Amino acid sequence: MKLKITLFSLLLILLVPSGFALKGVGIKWTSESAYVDDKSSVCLDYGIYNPWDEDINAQLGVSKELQEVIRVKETETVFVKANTPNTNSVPVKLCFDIPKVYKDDCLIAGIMCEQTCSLGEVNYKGEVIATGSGTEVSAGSGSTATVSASVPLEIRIKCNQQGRSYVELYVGILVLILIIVGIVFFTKRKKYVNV
Amino acid sequence: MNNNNLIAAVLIILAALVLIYYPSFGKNNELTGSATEIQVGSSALIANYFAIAASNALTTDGIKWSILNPGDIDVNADGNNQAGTSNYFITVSSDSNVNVDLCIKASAPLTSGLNTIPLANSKWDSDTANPLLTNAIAIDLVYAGADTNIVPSNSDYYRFWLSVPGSQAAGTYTNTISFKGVQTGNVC
Repeated sequence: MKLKITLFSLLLILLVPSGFALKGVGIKWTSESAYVDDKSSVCLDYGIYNPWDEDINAQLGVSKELQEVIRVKETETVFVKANTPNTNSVPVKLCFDIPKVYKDDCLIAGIMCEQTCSLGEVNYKGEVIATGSGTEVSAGSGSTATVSASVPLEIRIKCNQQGRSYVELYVGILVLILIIVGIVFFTKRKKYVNV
Repeated sequence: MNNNNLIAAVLIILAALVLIYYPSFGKNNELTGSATEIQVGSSALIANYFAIAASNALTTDGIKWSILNPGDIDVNADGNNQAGTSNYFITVSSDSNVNVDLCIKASAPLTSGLNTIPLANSKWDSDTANPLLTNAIAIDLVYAGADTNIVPSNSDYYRFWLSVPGSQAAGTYTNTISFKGVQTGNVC
């Protein structure tokens, strides 16, 4: 009888292996900060892995604080097979655009500008979040569950100090002088021709 | 002065102006002499990684109350398993190289159509062994810290309780509970 119960229990375990299955997501990262130029595009590398029992579809995203200041380009959803260790993590690039953070001080709208970096360096802190695919919903009142793994990310934006540029002014003066010279030249030439 | 002389004079003045005022002209940053310099790059790559997973009860059935009646107070979720270990748990993978803090939040109150059960009526507790109703707190819409410093291979157990207001409308009430893992020491 005891043997029968043991065999039955073993058969039950073999027939219902998912009863003990775990489902989740793993994240691998090599940086928690980035020092970037303003008005630039940046990509950071992450890895998503899945040492658990079930295949997943996973995606990277950023927390609300970062969403408000950087424009994250959409990251692809990746399929990660069950029992994928961190050494075989699926590489995922997280790319985003940094807006113009430091406003130039210009003498005339948009020209003869300087950047004094008087504000100091601006930095933003948030998280990069790897989320696994959603879970099944069963009938009845209650909650479905989602699992995510998150790592911190600090983005510090470089301020490149720059003295006031007079290039536009020089070009303007040059053009003006050339116009005057041209007028004088053609006026005198006209006079000679008429004489 | 004829025209050619005039043009030549203007061009000389312009060239002089540019050379005097344009700052990058005439500068030279090259090394001179016989000195040589060799620079060698140096780098070290440190990778961190962790994985967390939800128990089968969480991912397959969700946190479920099979039968509820208006006026019920602190009803155990089906998987609370008060007689033993809770069926609701989050595990940190054995191959993680950092410890993990866990966080929990709700997407919204339990909702059925236009009706909701207030968040204050949904309580939870977590523990590495035995979560208790006496320690339970209401679930929130922002992440709240559960247990901290969970070492690889270990699990954090959860139990959930729900109270139903006396006048609650009939319906199937649902929402989503999110579990998030962060490296120990980071905020939720």
